[in-house]
Amino acid sequence: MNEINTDNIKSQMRKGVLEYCILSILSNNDAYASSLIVELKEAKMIVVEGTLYPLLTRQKNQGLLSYRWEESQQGPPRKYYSITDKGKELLAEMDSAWKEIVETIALLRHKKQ
Amino acid sequence: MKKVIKVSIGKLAFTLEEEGYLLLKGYLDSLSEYYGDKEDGAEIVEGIEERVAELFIEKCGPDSVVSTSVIKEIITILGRPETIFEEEGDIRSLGINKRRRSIPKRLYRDPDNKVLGGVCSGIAAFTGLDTALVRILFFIFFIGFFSFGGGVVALIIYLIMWVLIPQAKTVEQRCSMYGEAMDLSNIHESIKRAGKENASSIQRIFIIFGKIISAIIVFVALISIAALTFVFLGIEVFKGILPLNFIDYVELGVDNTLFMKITFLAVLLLPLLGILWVGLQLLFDLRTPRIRPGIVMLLLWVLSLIGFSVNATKASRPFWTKTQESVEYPIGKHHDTIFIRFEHNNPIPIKRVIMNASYSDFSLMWMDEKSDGADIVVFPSVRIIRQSYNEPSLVRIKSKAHAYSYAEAISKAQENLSQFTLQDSLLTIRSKSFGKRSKWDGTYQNITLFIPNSVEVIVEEPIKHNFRKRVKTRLF
Repeated sequence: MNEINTDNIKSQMRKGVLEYCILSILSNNDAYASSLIVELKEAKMIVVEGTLYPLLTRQKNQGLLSYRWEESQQGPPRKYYSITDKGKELLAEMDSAWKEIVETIALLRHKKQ
Repeated sequence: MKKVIKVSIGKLAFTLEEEGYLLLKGYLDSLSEYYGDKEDGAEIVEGIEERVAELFIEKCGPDSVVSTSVIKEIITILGRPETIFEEEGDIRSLGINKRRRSIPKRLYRDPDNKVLGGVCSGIAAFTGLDTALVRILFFIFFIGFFSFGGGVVALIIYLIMWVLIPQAKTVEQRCSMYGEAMDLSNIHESIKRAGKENASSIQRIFIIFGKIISAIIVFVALISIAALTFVFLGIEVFKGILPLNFIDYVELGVDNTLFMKITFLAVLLLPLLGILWVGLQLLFDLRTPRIRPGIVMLLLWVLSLIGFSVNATKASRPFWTKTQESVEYPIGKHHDTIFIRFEHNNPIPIKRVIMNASYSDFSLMWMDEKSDGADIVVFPSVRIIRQSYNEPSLVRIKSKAHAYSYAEAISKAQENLSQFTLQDSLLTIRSKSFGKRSKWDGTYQNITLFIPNSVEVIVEEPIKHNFRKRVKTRLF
C-alpha cells in the first residue's frame, strides 16, 4: 500500500511537469515526436510512449507548439515540432515557477532540519 | 502456418499475423473510442499509429512479417489505453476499460470447448447458459426421446446443427459467439481459451466419453457399409442365405434402372459415409477441409433422394392400380389325399431353394442360374384351411394384379388364373420366373385349400412335404 502511494505521488509530480519538459526540449531543438519520446524516456519522465501524443496535440491547440512536415528516414513525411513565441513565453513563466518551487522545497527542508 | 493480414499503418505497408492484427486493431480502436469525440482525436491516434510504424521498422525491418509477440511488445511500449490516460492525467480514464461494447451475437460452434461438434458449448455461449447445463439438458432430451423409441431424433437434430452451424474459427467469430466486441482483455481470453491447456477434469471426462462415442460411431458406420455392400453385391455371407443379387432384384419390375440404382445406393450409403467421416474426424481430431464434406454429403444426399423418389415414382407407374380376381374349384369328397405338383421347365436345382413349410402354409422359390444372369422362380403360396367334414371341399385361387389402368389389371389377374389346374386329386402349379429379360408382371397369386382334417395333402417329389410336420425355412 505504502509503495503504491509513493509511485502515485511520483507519477503525479511527473504529470505536473511533463508539459514543461516538452517545451524545454523543444526550446533547444526542433524535434520529431519519436526523438521527443527518446529524450523523455531517457529522462524517465514517461513510462509509456503513447502519453506524448495527446499532450502534443493539446499544446499545439493552445498555440504553444507548431509543426511542419519533414521527410523522415523511413520515408513518409513526419511532423517536425517547434516551439512558438507563445510557447517560449510560457516556458519562461514555467522556469520561474519551477525555480520558486525548488527554492520553497529547499527552504522547507532546511527549516525542518 | 499462420494467416497474415496486410495493412497500412502510418502510410507504410506491413504484413501482420492475424492474431497480432486483431490485438492491434482492438488497441487502436480503444484509443479512437476514447479520443474520437475529442477535438483532434484523430490526430492523436494518427500520431500513435505513425509511432507504431516506426517501431515495426525498428524491430522487424521494412518488409518482414510482424509477429504477434512484437505487436504485444509494441503495445506495451506505447502503453495500454488505461496506462496512457493515467499518465497523461485525464480523469475520463476512469472505468474506460470496463465499458465493453457489445456486438450482434451469432451462433457458432465452439471449437475450444467441444465434446463432439461443439454444438452444446456454442449454444451455451449464445444463450449465456452454463455449458454443462446445456449438455445435460441435451442428454435428457436424447434419453427422453430414446425411451419413446426416437432417440435418433435428438441425434439427427444434433447432426443437422453440427452441419449447419459454422464453427467459430477466427478470434472475431469467437468474440461474436459471446456477443462481445474485441478489446484487449477478451482477445487475450479467447486466445488463451484456444490454448486448451486449462481443460477441467469434468471436461476431460466429457472428452473421453466423446472419444468412446466416436469410436462406436466409426465402428457402426463401417459395419453398416460392409453389410450394405455385401447385400448389394449379393455375396453369400452364409451359403445360400442371400441368394439374391440385390441390384438384379431391383431391376425385376422396372425399366431404366441404372440411375435409380445409383441414387438408391447413394441414399443409403451417403449418410453412412457421413457418419463415418464425422466419427473419424472426432476420433483423430481431423480438421474440416475447406470443402466441408458434411455439407457436400448432405447436398448430394438430398439430390439423390429427390432423384430416386422421382425415378421410383415414374418407374412404379405401371403398377398404380390394384385389383384381384379369384376362382374356386370343388374337390370331390372321395379323395382322401390331394397331391400338389410344382412344375417348372427345368428341374428344381439342388442348391438355392428357399422353402417355407408348416402345417398350413407352404411357399417355394429358387434362383435359376442362366448364362445371362439369374432368374427368380416363384410359385404361389399355398395355404390349407381345415374345416368340418360337412362343408364342401374346394380350392380357391386368388390372383392379385397391379397395373396402370383398372382394365389392364383385371385382364392380367384373370390371365394368371390359368396358371393352375386341378385334375381329380392332383393340383398342378406352374412356376413363373422373372429376370432381366422377363420382368415382374405385377401379379401374385395364392391358393387356399378348404378341406376336412382327415384329408392328407402331399407335395410331390422331389420336394416332399405332407403338411403334418413343420419345416420353417429350408435351404437346399
